[in-house]
Amino acid sequence: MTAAGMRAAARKSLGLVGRPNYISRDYSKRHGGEFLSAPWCAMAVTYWARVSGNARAVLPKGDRAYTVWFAEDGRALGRWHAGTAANIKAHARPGAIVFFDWDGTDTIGRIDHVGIVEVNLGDGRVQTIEGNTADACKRRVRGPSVVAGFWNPPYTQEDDMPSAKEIADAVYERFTHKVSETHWASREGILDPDQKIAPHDALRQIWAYGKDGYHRDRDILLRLEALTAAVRELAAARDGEVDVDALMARIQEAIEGVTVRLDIGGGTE
Amino acid sequence: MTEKTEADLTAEGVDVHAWGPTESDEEAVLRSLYGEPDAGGIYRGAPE
Repeated sequence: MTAAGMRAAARKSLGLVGRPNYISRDYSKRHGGEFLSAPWCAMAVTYWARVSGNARAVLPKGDRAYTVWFAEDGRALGRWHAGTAANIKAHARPGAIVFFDWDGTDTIGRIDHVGIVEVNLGDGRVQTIEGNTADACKRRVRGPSVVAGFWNPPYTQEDDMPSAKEIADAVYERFTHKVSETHWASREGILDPDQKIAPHDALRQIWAYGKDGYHRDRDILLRLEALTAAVRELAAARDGEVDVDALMARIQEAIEGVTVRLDIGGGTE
Repeated sequence: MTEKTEADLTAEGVDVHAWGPTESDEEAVLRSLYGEPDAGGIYRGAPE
């Protein structure tokens, strides 16, 4: 079940004119002769869904000739979008079932006509394929003034959407950046200028920094313990003679190499 | 009251103006997507 298959089936009907036609005959075979010359826009969508193997996605409650019921099927699935420019722009995918009210409302009960979206034009309008548009099957361009709403059938393969891998790659790329010369890590010599940091590398870097930080903390702790021992020694010998120079040398040795960075900015670096 | 059949509902009220208003630049948009229409005024082919 694919949107591409649905659109391909609709394209094959382009140029079909008049009624009865093979679409209304197909519907009439199953539902009665009264449909032979009935308005056939919804019958066309039904036909395209059946011949393209998309019936389960497009016709959740079976064949449709009555547009209002067809729209209600989509609403029952929780897939209905009102026909606003913003909704059309954001949600009308190729293969969507799109409904029209020539009076300009978004009310399902007032729907007059139906077609499928072939192309989302990206400006709040869609290019459609419609059966029974002036009693023919044609491509049309429709905007929010006549689109009452639409729904996207649950095609199993959303072939007009980026694949999961494409989305993952785009996200990965979005979170990947080059280290600039002015970046603090570059200035400190931790990273090379122009080095590429991807999410995977960044996680490894965080792990490495964490490990390094642990060892540094441990080193500082040992030095502080040595300092404490020196002070205790001084306190114990307060009544005796203390070699001040020797003690200062020991303290200096203990704190040598301890670096304290003062963070005074709120920047991201 | 008898419930109306799908055939009754389809035949009445709805779909009577199935062509409806189209966008003023429809021809230009379709031409940009599909090139020139055939002799019957039908834009054919698949979009890029």
